[in-house]
Amino acid sequence: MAKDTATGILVTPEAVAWSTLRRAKEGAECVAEGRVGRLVDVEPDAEEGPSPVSQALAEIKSSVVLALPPTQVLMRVLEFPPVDDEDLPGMVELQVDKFSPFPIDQMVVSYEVLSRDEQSCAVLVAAAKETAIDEAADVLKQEGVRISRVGVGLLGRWKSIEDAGQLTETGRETLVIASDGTVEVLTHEGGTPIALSCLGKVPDLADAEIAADIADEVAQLLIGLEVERGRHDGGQTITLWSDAPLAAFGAALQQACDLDVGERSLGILPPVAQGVALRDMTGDALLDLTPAPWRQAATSTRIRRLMLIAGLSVFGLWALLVGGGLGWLAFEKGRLERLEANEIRWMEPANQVRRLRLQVNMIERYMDRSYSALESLREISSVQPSGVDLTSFTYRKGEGLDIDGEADSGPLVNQFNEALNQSPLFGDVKPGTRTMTRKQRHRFSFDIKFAEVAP
Amino acid sequence: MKISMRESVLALVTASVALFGVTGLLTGSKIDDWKAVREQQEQIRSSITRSQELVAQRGTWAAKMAQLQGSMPRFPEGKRMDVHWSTEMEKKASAHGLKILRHEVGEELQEGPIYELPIECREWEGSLDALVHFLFDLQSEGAMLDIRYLRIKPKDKIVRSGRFSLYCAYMREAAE
Repeated sequence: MAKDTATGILVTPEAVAWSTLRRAKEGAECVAEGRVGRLVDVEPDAEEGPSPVSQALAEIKSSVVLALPPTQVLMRVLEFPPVDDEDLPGMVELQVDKFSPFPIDQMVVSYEVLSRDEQSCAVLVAAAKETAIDEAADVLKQEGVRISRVGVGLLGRWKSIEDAGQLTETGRETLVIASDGTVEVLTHEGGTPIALSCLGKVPDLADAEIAADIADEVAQLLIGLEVERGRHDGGQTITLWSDAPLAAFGAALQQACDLDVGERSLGILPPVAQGVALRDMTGDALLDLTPAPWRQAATSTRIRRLMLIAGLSVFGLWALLVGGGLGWLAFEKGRLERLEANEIRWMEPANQVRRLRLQVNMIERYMDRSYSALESLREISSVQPSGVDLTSFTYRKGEGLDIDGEADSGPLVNQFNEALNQSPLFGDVKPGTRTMTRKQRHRFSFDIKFAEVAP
Repeated sequence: MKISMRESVLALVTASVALFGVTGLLTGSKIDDWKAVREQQEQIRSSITRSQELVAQRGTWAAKMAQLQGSMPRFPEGKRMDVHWSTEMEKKASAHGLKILRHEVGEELQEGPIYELPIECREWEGSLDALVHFLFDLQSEGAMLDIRYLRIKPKDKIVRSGRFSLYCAYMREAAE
């Protein structure tokens, strides 16, 4: 996935060089770069304050790509038959085990696919000792720089040359890069690397004898390549890239390899760190020499961070719910208090009206004669059949009547009961116990409620 | 000690469940509090609404009261009303041949500007006609006289006896 910013840091025993790129409208722009020398095997003096390396790295807070110097990395371009992605790591490790001088369990191996078709799969393989990577990374880790990937400086240089349009498009070109006292050799065909190697530290290439020795080594490499891949039909050239003109070395190369040697100055190219950053920004599925313990540590850190975030989120949610709940309860109680105050405010005027209403009802009760004693007496007299005599009449205003009496016969009592039931003045008429008197009359009683309770 | 992702997630889930579970248990009473508060709020809102409706009816009730007050008898402040109403009752009873044999005047009650005086007639005696005329007289006099309780028993074939409660309503006017 393309990134918006990338920082490449090349750590060599002599210096630390870095470059930070940011995506711009056209390509990328360099927003910071630098290079400071390192005092190897010298403990920093606390009294003199932070070292120049510390000061420089303190400015870099984004994740970076650590580029290893070519002397620390073994690189090969391997041709495999068509193979699935999941089988590739095993096949690569098997091959590395063959050419590596160190046991495979001490190495970190990575690869990136250069080209793939139906016949073959070209893979760039890199391997480095885990201790060497740790040593190179120590200086960054001490300053709190987070390393997202471990790459190779030579590939950064390759990217710079490629982007500068300095590659020969046809034939086989061998780039001999002499920089910082190191000689690296990279051969490509039409922009695809086919061989990479580092000839290690060279004391002085200006010395004709040393230049001749190194030129012989390059010639050996080219012969080996020709044996392995055959002669290229498009021709073969050598380009010598160097910090300063190396006429003697160029002549020695021409003589040893019997090929035309062109010379270029590394001064026209951006620094290696910038190439590393640019590769990281634009590349995909790049090789990564990050040691397994780093990955495990990173995974552990990620898990811890995730757990911390999840824990804090859960706690935050809990606090939000509890706080929200308690806050809501407090708000509701506050609202209740306001309502109570409002109720009290309305109570006195409402009570005044209640009293007024009570007084009105009181007067109306006096004035309402619908259920008066006289009216009740009149109604009873009007429905009382002949042959029925009342022995007791009790009137209670607003409630009803209790009447007792005697009748000549039972049907008369029933007739009286029926008449009472049909009277509009009375509602519920409840007959009491009926007994016979000594004179053989029917004694009865009625509990009568008014049809409508008088106010 | 190394803790795997799975163990971490399990620990987090367990801790979360425990945290929320314990909180849920502890906040049960708070939810009851909240429900009680909401219930109280509803009751008070309803009470306020009733009060507001009542206050809005003040004009109606005041107008009705003003109208009714016109029909109330008025007496000077300080006048002994027990004597007045006893005399009035006895006068009306004797006018129709009803005998008030025993009566008792109760305490004067007051509700705002309205006064009430209960008179308990413990025993009366007379014919049914006399009683009916007496009741009719009380009712048609216009005075605020109200029979709240009436008991009638035959004493013999003609004469009836019993008791009643008479309430007299009136207003008092401050002496000028």
